[in-house]
Amino acid sequence: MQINSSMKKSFLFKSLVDYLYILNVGGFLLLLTTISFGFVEINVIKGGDEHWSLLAISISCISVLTCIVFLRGVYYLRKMARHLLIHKYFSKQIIKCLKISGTHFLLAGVMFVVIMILGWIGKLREGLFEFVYDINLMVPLFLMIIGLFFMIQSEALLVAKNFKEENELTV
Amino acid sequence: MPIIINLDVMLAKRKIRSKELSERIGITTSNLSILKSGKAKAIRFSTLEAICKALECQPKDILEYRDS
Repeated sequence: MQINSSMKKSFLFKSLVDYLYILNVGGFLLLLTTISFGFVEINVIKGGDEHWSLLAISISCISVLTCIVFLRGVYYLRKMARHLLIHKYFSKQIIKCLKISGTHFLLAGVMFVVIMILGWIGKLREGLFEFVYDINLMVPLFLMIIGLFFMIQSEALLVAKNFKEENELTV
Repeated sequence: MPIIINLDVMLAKRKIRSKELSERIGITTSNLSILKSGKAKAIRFSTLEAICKALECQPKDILEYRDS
């Protein structure tokens, strides 16, 4: 009963992570294609300049990098979910994937904060001081929390794995 | 590990086979094999007591410390 319930949860988790990965990869590729063919206008460029400012270029580059880092994090989470399905809770792969995924989420969160700060600086340069309190403020915070939690969880699993091995080798 | 298990020596001295010992002390042959091969990380007092009783020996006959 317990195994069946845990199996269902693992399966649901894997499916959700799969959807998240596919949607993100699809969205990212679509965004890159539409931007490179000029199908969309980007709101960052304001003021009617024909050329992008250094700040806008920096924000765009960091945004793309953040997206790639986040996708890599989700990719490793997906890999971990695959191992969860075969009930290898204390395997080296799960510990490794969880740690890498956590590091990537933490990094993505930090990069998100950098983007927000750069955007804020850009507005300050235009003489506009604004502080918007919305859901976007929570995203990097949540990403960093999740990233750190995964890293802690990976260390906890490593300790548990060692205990399990020791227990199994006690005669 | 500097702790050496001399179980196979004692088994040879008493002319008892591993399977017989495992049946007598109530542990699986695979666990006894782990113990004999030195892969075990710990041994319970109850297991040690059972082995000593079955082989009529002292714990020092089974466990030995060698400084490596």
